[in-house]
Amino acid sequence: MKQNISAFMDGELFEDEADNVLSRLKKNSELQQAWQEYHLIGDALRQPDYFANDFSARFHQRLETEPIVFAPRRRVMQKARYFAVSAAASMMALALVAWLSMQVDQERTPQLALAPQTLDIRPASFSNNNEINDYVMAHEEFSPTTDVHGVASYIHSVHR
Amino acid sequence: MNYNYLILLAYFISAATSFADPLRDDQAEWLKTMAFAAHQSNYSGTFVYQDGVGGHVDVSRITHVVDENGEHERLEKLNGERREIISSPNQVWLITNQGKVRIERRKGKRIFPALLPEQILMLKENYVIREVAEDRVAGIHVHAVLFKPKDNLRYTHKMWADSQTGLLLKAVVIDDRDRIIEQYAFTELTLGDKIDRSWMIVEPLAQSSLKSPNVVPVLTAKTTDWQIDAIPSGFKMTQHFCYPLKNRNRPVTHLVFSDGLAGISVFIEDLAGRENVNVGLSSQGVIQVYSRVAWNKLITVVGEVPPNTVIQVGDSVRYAGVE
Amino acid sequence: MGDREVDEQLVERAQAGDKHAFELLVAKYQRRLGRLINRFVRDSAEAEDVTQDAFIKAYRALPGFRGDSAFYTWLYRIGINTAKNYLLALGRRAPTSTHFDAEEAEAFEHAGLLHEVSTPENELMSKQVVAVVNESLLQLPDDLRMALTLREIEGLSYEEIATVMNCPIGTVRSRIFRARDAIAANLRPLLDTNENQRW
Repeated sequence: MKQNISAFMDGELFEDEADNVLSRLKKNSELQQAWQEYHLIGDALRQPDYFANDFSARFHQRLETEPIVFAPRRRVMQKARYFAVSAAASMMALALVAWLSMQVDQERTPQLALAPQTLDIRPASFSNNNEINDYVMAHEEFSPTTDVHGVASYIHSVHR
Repeated sequence: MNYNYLILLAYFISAATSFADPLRDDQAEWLKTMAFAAHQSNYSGTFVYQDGVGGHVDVSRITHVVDENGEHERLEKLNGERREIISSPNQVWLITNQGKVRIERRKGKRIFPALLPEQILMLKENYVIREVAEDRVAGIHVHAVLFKPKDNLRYTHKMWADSQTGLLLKAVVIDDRDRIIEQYAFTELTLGDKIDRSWMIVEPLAQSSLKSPNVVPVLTAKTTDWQIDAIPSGFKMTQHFCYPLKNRNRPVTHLVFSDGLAGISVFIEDLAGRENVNVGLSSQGVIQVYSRVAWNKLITVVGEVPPNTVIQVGDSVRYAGVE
Repeated sequence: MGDREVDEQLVERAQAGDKHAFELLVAKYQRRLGRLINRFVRDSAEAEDVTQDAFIKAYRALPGFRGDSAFYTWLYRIGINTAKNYLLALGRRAPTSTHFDAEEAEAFEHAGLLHEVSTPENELMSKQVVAVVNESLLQLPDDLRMALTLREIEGLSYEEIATVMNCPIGTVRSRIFRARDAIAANLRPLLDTNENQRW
């Protein structure tokens, strides 16, 4: 968890993780200590001639007596996990050509399994079977593959 | 002397943990980025799907939009007979030339983030995950990930995603003899807010915050009565339901297993005087379906795993309840 | 660069009522701002009080911060104004009489034109801290030292450091953390004993 403090203070965490870290920082004194220490290290490296002991503790006392400031403001997410969408350029078009010829693995180029007899089992295609499609649809709803990359939870139900 | 031993031990322990992290973090980060992009971005694109075994090719259009209710998706086959699926957090509709049919949603709204830590752990346990840094495809900077299973009971997956956005551009499933089982790739993909949303299902807010009355994730005696002896290691049961599947008279028991990337479903239902049940093996690309009859029940296994695996799982289902 | 994002997130939280987020900012900038104010208010103890005042002023002025400038630039202006007002109230003059903005202040800092007067205790403490930090840095393995230096002194982002050091970003993150963790461990005894000597 302290590693996250280190990454967070450098601005290298995504928004969702940063929020999580901030919430934990609030409650965890060990993490707060890490925040203090790591910043002290940076300051000591860069400007080695000023040090004020006990500043934070004393400031905390003063801040306690201040009325809470409440002026929320929506700002633009900086380090969102999906980037490359700005207000002006909200459309991005990609064109892929010759996808069929892309190599799967660097060592070998796989062959399309077009000849069914090379398989040990010869399954029948279920393209005309509505019953089977019910099972497939119910199954696809939970397919973990789509958790990983999205794209069409029901891709097999559509392409029968 | 004891003191020195302790110091040495402490050194090894800290060294071990510090060696473990750096590379693993990269892989997990990219997976999280891909999953996040897939579920949190608005995009629309055309892709070509090829069934490696059956050989046929389809072209489809997919549109994915996220709003305050959750994810909305439209999947439209562009060639052949009309076939379209529109989904929202609580509803799924199948549209064909015969009309619109509503499918019940059993899965609740996805919560953020899209890829849970447990799932990443499972993936690392069951697959060797290698990031294959490939530079450019047709001028686009891509990032490729290879999932190689540790046994031959599942398939190898490879995915290429756009480096900038994290969106999947191409996916391939291959077997242990390097034959392509299925693949699909985008020929065109657009990201952004100016995407047509006219097809989206509008749900009143009150309704969408409640569970649909038809969702019944109930753990009943039925679901625990069944044992599956030969489920491949690394697969964990993630859900179990008992619900009325379309057009069936009696409720169907549905057990869901996952290894983080591949899923296996086991459906068990009463035969109840039905004739003409299809048994045996059927397939569509990566999906294999195997049915068998036992204890006067129809047992159907559906999975993104090789034929041998669904057969092995199906044959090992047995009734363990009290008669 | 990464700094600004962190500050914005903390400011946003503070503006939404999270005092602790503001305290994190204080912990981050206390020395930098204190050093600046010390240039005006030469006595260390006084300077520290004025710095505290400046942070309180900044907290009260938060609603007015709209993110147009970087947070620390905004903070610096408040710091300078607070220092000047303090001196005026005491009848003392600031080292330079005309208008003074943040950039000028930093320029003066770098040129070493302003002199600092610090108490013996403070000076000793800061010398010790600096000594421990630098010694620990030298004791670190080369890759950890390089990563931390590139980050803290050169101000490079993780991605830039990864390019320079030819390693994955995850490795950069890990090396910087391990460097900080090791140095902090050496600092802790020094900071702990110092806390016991309250003056």
